[in-house]
Amino acid sequence: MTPIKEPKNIDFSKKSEPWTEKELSDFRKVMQKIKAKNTKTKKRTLRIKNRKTTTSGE
Amino acid sequence: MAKHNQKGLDFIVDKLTNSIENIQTGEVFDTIIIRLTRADNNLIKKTEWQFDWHQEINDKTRECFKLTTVNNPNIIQGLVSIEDKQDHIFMYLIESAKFNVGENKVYVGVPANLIAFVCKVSFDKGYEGFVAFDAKTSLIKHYEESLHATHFRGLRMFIDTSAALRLITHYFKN
Repeated sequence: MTPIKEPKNIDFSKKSEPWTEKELSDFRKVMQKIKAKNTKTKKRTLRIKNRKTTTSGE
Repeated sequence: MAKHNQKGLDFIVDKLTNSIENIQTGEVFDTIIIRLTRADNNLIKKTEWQFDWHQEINDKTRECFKLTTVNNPNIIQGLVSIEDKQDHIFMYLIESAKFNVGENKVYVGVPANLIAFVCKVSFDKGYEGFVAFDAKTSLIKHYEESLHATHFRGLRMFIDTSAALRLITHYFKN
């Protein structure tokens, strides 16, 4: 697979400054929401998969 | 590297198929990403890098990785320094080699390759792909488009699970 190319005039070299406690705390709230959604999606996918397996096994 | 948890999504990446492309010839070269150690100090000349990578290697809170082509492991194409924040990975530094920067860069694909690797580390540690980093103001839009990163606030950005999966599946085979 071909690599994702950055344009010629764009370089990614970057130093990140440490995030403040407030920023981290807010970020963690956002992250928790997405992770909770991931878990729900995963559970739903598993339920559908199990249902399909049961149906196909009948 | 610290022991990896296997919680989170059922996504196991075990084969590297990374590559970078020579901008002149279009030739694609397989790459590998390896943990940087003090033994690599002689490969990193301070004058050739913008950031102090020797200091990064010595920082015990961080892990540094080098990207090289498979056939030429002594020429470093790019470096990344990350920190384990226990629920996500913080990408502290990322830098392409001098010859991969600017209008006359030799290879393209080095940064995305390294970032995909960082996402993989995040999954391996059970953080569901979350990677946080800072962006230059002018590049926020570019990161949103090329990496599908999310603009959090100010210069702060992050890569979430779906963006991380997208990057990993582009670079790694199951």
